[in-house]
Amino acid sequence: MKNCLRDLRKARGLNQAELAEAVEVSRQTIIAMEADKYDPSLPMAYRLAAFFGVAVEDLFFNPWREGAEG
Amino acid sequence: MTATNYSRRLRKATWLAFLAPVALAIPAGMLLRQVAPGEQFWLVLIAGLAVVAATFWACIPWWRTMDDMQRHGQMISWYWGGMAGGLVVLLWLIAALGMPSLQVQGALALFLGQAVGFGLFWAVWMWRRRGEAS
Repeated sequence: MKNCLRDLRKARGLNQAELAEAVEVSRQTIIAMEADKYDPSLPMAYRLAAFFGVAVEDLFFNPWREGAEG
Repeated sequence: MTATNYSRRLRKATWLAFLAPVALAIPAGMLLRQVAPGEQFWLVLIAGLAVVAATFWACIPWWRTMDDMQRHGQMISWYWGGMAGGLVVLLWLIAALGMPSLQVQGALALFLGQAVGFGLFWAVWMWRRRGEAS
C-alpha cells in the first residue's frame, strides 16, 4: 500500500529504529512498510497515524478512493 | 519508555521462547529414554503433555510482543514451509521404506494430529469471530 511514512518520519527527524521503538514494532516492519512491501493491520495503521497526528488515509493512501495518490 | 524498550522486551521474549523449550525438552527426553515402550503409558503421556504446555506457555510473551508483520511471517512460514518440509520427509519415507513401515505410520500419525489440531483451532477461531448477521 502506497504511503508517505518515510516522508513523515524524516520530517520528524527520526531514523527507522527510533520510529520502530516509538510505536513498538520492529525496524524491519518499518522498512517493509516504507518500501510498500507490507500492508499494516488497521490497529498498526491507526497507531502510526496517531503518532504523526494525521488521518490514516493521509498516511496510507486508499487505492479504492478516487483521486488517491500513487 | 526508554529508547530501546521494545527491542529489549522482544529480545528477552525471543530468548525465553527458544531456550525454555530446549531446557524443558532435553531433560524430558532423557527421562523418557529410561521408560520402555508401553510401560507407564499414562505417566509418560501426562508428563509429556505438561512439557508441551510449559513450552507453549513460555512462547506466549514472544508471540504477544511481536508486531503483526512478524506474526504474519511466522504463520506463513509455519503453514507453507512447515507443511512442505513435513510432506517432503513423508514422501521420502514412503519411497525409501514403504507404507507399512513404522516410520511412515508414525509420520502419518503426526500429520493426523496436525490436521485435528488445525481443525480445532480453526473452529475456535471462527467461533470467536461470529457476529450478528443481518
